[in-house]
Amino acid sequence: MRVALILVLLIALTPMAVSAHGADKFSVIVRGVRMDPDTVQMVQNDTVEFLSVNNSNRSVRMDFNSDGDYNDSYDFNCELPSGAMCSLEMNVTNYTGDLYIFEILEDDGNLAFTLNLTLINDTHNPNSSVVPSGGYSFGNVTQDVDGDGILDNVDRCVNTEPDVEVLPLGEDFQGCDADSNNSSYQSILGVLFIALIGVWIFIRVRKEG
Amino acid sequence: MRCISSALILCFLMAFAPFAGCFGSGDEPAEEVYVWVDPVTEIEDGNHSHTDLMSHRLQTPNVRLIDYHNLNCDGNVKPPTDLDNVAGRPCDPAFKNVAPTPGDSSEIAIEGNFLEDCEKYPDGTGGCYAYVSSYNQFEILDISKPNNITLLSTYYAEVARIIDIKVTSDNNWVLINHELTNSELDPIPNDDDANSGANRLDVIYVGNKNEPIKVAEWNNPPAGFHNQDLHVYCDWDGASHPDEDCSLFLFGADPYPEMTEGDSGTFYKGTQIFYVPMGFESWLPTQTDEQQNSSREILRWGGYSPEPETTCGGSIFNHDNVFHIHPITGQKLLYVSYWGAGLRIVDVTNPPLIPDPEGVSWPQDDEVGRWLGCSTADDGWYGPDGGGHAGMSANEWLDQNLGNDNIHYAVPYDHLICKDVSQYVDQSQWPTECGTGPDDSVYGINWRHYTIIAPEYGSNTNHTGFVWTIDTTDPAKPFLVSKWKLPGQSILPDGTVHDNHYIPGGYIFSPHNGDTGTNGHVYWTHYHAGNWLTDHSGIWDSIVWKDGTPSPDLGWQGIETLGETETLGYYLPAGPEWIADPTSELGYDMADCWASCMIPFDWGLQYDPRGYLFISEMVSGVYVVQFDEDKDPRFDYPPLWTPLEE
Repeated sequence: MRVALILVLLIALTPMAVSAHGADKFSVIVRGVRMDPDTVQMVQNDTVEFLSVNNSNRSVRMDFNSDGDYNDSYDFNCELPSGAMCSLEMNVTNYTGDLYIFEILEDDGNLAFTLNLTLINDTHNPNSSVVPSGGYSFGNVTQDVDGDGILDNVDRCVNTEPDVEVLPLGEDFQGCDADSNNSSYQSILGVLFIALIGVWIFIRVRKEG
Repeated sequence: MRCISSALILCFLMAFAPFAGCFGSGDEPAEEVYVWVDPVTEIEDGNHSHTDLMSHRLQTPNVRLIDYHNLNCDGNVKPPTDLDNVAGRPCDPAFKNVAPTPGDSSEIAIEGNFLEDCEKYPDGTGGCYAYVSSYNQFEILDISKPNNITLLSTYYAEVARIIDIKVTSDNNWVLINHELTNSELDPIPNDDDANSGANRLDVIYVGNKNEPIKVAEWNNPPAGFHNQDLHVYCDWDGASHPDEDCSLFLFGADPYPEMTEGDSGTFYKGTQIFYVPMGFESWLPTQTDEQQNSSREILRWGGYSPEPETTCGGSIFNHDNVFHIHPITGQKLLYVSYWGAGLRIVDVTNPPLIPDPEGVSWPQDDEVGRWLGCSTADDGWYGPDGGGHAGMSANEWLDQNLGNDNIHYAVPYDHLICKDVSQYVDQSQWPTECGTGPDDSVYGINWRHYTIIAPEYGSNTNHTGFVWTIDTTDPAKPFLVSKWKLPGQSILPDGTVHDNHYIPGGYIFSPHNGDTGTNGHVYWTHYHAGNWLTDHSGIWDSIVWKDGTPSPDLGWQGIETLGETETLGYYLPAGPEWIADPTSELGYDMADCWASCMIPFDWGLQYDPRGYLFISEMVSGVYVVQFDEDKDPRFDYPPLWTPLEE
C-alpha cells in the first residue's frame, strides 16, 4: 500500500518540470536622463522589471483599462526609489496581447519616461510570416500534421511522426501544449491505477471480514 | 531575324554540346572553376528538404574530409543493465562506422600535446584525446592520428542532459554538466522520462581512457549549469590543506536569468565560482580515505552578475564562461557571454582567502571590461563619446532582427596576431610591419588580441546574427573592429529577395559554438548551415581610421569603416564520403529532433593546432576535416579512405 501511495505521488509530481533557459524576464534600466530600452516586446508570462539606477525617487504606473485611474484590477502601481526594482509578471490569465504603456513619474508627479510594451499572446499567431521548418505549416486551421487532435494553428508542439517531438517554432513560444494522446493515455492509466487500488482494498477488506 | 539567328546558334550549341569534352588538348585536364554555392536554404518545399542528407553534402573546394567516427562503441547504444552507472565501458574498434549510430552529440573538447604531434611517452603521458558530450553519455576518442581516430570508451549516465564538457590539460579529469532546463522546449532524444535531466556537475576520472569513472558530483538546484570551465591555481595562498600545491576552481554558468532569487531563498549570481578543497588528486581511486576529500565537497567561493546600470536592459543571464590568461597583461580572465548584457570580462586572478559565496565583492568588483553595442555609462570608455560600444541605442542593441543581442558564446584568441602571423610563426617569416613583436616601439601596435562573440536565436525573421570581432588587446578597453554574417541572400516567404539569411525556426542557421585557430583563423558552427572558416588577420589593416592612422585609444569612435572579416570556406557534414548511403548503412536517426529534425546540425567544434578541425554533428557523430589554409607539412595526415567510384 505504501508503495502504491508513493507511485501515486510520483505520478502527480511528474508534470512539474522546470523551464528556464532563455529569457522570461526583461529588464528596463531607469537612469537619470533616459530609460533603456523605451520599447519592449515580450510574451505573456514574461516579467518586466524596472530597475532604478539613479538617485531619484520615482514611481511606475500602468492603466490597464485606460479609464484614467490606476486603481483597477490589473492596473499597476509601484514606488521606485533609488536602487529599487518594480516588476510585473504579465501572466496569461490577466494580460492579453496588446500595447501597454507604463509611465515613470518623478517624485513631484511629472512624467519622466514612457515605456511602450507590446505583449504578444502566448499562442502562435496564425498570420505570422515565420516559415516553420520540417515541412509543415502553421496557419492552416484545418491542418493537424501529427494527428494529435490539436490543430496546428494552436498546437505548440507539432509532431511529424507519432512519438517524435519537434522543436516548437516561433520566438513567442513559451512551452508545449500537452499532447492530447499522451494526456488521454495518462488519464486512462490513472483511472485504471486507482481502480486497481480500489479492487485490491476491497478484496483485502472482504478477506479480513 | 535576330530571333532566328539566336535560335540557330542555340540549336548549333545544343547539337555539339555532347561532344564538348572531345575538343580538349587531351592530356591536360581542364581547370575546374569553382562557382560559389550558398549552402543555406530557408524555405523547405518540393525542391529542398532539411532532412535530405545528400543534398547537404556541400563544401568549398579548399576543405577535405580526413576521417569520421559515428561514435558506435560496441554495437549497443546503451551499456548492459548490470554495468555500474558511475563507470564507462571500453569500446571495440571493430564497430567504428557501422550501425547503429547513437547520435545526440553536442559539445566537443580536445586536449593533448598537439605540437609534439601527440607523441605518447612510456610514463603514460602524452597523446591527444577528444571528449564528446552526447546527452546521456560522453565519448573519449584517441585523436593522436587525425586520419585514424579511435573510440576508446563511452561513459553512460542514467540522467541527462550532458551538453557541455571540459577536460583538464593533463587529460585526467572531465567535468560534465547535467542541466535541467528547456525540458519543455527541447525534446528528449530517447523519449525516456528517466533521462529527462538532473541539476548537477559531475567529475569523471579519465586517467584510464578505457575505464572512465565518476568520482564526484554536486547538485545546483533548480537547473544545474549550462556551461562550465575550470582552472588550477598554483600560486594561491588559501589552500585548505598543506599538501595542496595547486588549487582547483570551477566556473559555472547558471542558466537562470539574473536579478531573481532562486528557490533556495538565497540570491546567487549567474556566474558562480567554486573552490574544490584538496583538488582533483584527492579523488584518485587509489587514494586512501585519509588522502581523499571524502566528502567530495566543493565550496561556493564567489559570484558575479553585471551591474544593472552597466547594461541597456533586456534579458540578462549568463550563458557561458571561458577562462583565459591574457597574453599581454597576464591576467586570469573569465570571458562571459551574458545575452543582452553582452560580453563581460572579469578578472579572477586572485581568489580571496575568505569565501564570498554570494559574490558581494569577488569577483563582482573585478569586471575589467565589457562590450555591448550601446553606450552603458554617462562618460568614459562606455559613455556616449567613448570607444567601447557601437553607437547603438538600447532599442537597436536589443533588436535581434538587426543581428544584435543574445550574446551566447565568446572565444578569446590564445595569442596575439599581426597580419597573418602569430607568435607561433618563426620570426624570420614575420612581415616588416610586425617588427620585432608586440614590444616593438614602432610596429608593436600591429599585434592585436581579439575576442570573437556571437549570438544565438531560436528564430529570427530578418537575420542569422553577427559574429563580432572585439579588440581586447587592452582588456580594459575592448572595442569593435569587425562584424561578419553568413554570406548570401535569401528568399522570403513572399518570394522576394532578402539581403540576409534568416532563421525561420528551430535555431536552423543560428551561430552556435566556435574556436580560434592560428594566425587569425576562426571556426564557427551555424547548426544546419554548417561550419564556417573566417580569416580575421586582415581586419587591422583594412580598418579605415577617421584620421588616417590607427587609434586604438579612441576605439570605435576612431573608426570610419570597420575592418573586413574574410570568408574562407565552409563544410557541411553529411556522412562519410566513402559510404554511398550512410543514412541506412550507419542507421542515422533522421527523426532526431534534439537536432531540430535536420541534418546536419552542428553543435560544436575544436581546432587542433596541427591544422585539423574536429566537428561534432548532432545526428551522425564526429568529423575531422582540414582546410587547405591550415595545412602544416610537419603534421601530414592524408585521408586513408578511398573515394567511391563515380
